[in-house]
Amino acid sequence: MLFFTLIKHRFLEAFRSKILSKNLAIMLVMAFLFIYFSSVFISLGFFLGDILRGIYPDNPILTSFFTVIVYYYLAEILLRYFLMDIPAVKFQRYILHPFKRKSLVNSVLLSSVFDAFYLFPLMIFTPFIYQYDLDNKWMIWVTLLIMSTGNHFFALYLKKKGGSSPFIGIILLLITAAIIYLDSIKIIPITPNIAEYLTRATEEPLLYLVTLCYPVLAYLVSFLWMYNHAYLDEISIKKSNNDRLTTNLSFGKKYGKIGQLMELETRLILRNKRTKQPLFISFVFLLYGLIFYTNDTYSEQQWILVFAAIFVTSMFAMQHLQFTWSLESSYFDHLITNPISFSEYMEAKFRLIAAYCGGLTLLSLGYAFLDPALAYHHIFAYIFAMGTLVPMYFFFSTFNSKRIDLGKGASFNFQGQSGHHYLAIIPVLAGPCILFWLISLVSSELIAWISLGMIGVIGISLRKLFFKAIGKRLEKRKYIMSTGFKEN
Amino acid sequence: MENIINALNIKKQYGDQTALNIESLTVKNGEIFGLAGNNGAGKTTLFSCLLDLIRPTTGEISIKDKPVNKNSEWKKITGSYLDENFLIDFLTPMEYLKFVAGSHDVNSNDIPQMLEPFKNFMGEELLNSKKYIRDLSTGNKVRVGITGAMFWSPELLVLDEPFAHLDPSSQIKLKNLLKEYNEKTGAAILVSSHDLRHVTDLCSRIVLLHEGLINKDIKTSTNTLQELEEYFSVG
Repeated sequence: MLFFTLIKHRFLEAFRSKILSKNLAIMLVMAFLFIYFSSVFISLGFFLGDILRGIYPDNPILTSFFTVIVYYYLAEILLRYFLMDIPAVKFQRYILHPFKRKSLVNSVLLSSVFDAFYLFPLMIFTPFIYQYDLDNKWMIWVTLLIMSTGNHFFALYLKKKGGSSPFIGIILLLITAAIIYLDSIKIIPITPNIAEYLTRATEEPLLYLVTLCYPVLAYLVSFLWMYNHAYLDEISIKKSNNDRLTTNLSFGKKYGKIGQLMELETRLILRNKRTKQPLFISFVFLLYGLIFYTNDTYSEQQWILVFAAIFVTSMFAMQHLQFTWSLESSYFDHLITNPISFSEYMEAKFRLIAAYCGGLTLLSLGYAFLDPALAYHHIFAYIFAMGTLVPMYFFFSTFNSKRIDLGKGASFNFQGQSGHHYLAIIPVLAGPCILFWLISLVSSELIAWISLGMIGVIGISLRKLFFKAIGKRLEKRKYIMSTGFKEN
Repeated sequence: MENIINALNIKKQYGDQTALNIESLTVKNGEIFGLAGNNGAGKTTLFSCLLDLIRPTTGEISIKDKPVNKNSEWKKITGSYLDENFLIDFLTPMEYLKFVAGSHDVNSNDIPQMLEPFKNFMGEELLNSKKYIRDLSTGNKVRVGITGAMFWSPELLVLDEPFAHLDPSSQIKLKNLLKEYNEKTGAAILVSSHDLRHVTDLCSRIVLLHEGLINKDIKTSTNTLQELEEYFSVG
């Protein structure tokens, strides 16, 4: 049967993917990440009861549980919308074979159902449900699956329908924000009402039947859309290219050759999925401080704050620069046969990244409202990162010899990664913390912060020397890299 | 006439296999040099060695008497297009050409004038297309790549299989374009192709590669096409 064939192909694709089968290190890292996140989620599930009692002391525990669930699934639509793969691409492989279009669409849609998004909520919520003595436990469990399935098809539909514009994402965000707002001012409490309804449903399981409408409707709309657009040109998402931002760049006129490379870098970052995602994520990391700085245990140990400050201000630099040259893999041959020097190329990258992270640092100065000291923490951490970590990452990137497909998303994408990326994290992130700790031992913490800034300034002023040295190394490595980038 | 390319004892080995083994090869200034041979004969390997993309196991190639792997002066006078790895595919054709111009220190005001001779080959529509190169058809990619390799007037032009993927009229246009370019600028042009007719029409000299060795070195005459066809119908 077609459906099972497609499921089989999905498994084969996953297990035979080149990155997985070739690279043991990545397998291990993935396994580690999986175990790590699972244990986090499962333990969260065990403590969920206590947490809920803390947040909603007045509500019955089950109602607050359902409130969380509704919020979770609202967030899940967003997550799915931004991260999920669409099966449309896979559709093309089968479209020429003699299957009935209806059964093909059905099979493609159905076989796309089970993915990682199903796993994590079950990890959180299952231990919670089994801690409590409830009737109809299995019904709650089924509801979770139903909600996930509904979200799956709904996100799929939205993604196909609105793939060409970022508006759908923004509208989704606005709707979510609106619901949270309406809940909080208690005029139209949408979520609590749903939660109460679901609580009642635990006693009368028939009420759960209503929730079935959601996945069925969502499936129908995505089925109809896909059935009516089952042509190669309509099913794949074609983005219109005319973004004014990247077409009208004028760095070239202002800064000459390096400016021209900055234009190229800007277009590289903004026109490719792989590079665009970390850019958005860097905005999310701006909020990382909210978790970190509001936790009192950390403020005792300032060396951890070094880590946080670098993370908030300069994460993008590291995420982006560690893949230097791999991101350029599809035109590396152009770079090495034209009069473009590696050191100028790195200088262009440096200027652009420094400007962007500088902007993030300015935004992050808002943390000064929490603690005025955070303002200078962030500034010094930023200068330190630009002066030392950026050249270090450029150095590590000379080891890159794996290609990266710019068209694929960055999340859960291990393409282009090798062991050295993981090894590089240790000195780069632990280094500044240790340095800070050592300096603060012999002097004060303030002096340690200032020293980090000073080291950064020295690094920034010497950067062209570093870039030249790294460029020389690249001249020797370029043959291996060029060959490596052509292998899959 | 002076030689623009000098290659001596070029050998490229992959394990036990010898991909390329050339005792001596020179290309003169202003020569249109054709490289023919079946798949695996070593054509692309030779071009890649010439452009310093791969390192020969032994020997040295020089452009204008400067070894390509020790001095990068050659990059300023050499235009090349081997495959799609030479294109920056998230740029539009015009952005790409402007980028190439910038790398070669061409004033951006001179670009329209420099592109004038290529308008017929590229086509106005492609030249001003707002599509990114990655969304173009293979033939159009080749056109962008070839134009990018030569519009800034290099003294040496290296093209690998330029006729493949092009439609018949573009093939003829390209042939004329290369001839005119050679006459006007006196640049040396290196072309590899499976299309024997195009090679004989275009090139003043044809070298046949077979399993990495130079099998024949022919000065093109009226009999050349027949000679080549006989050679390949046996091999």
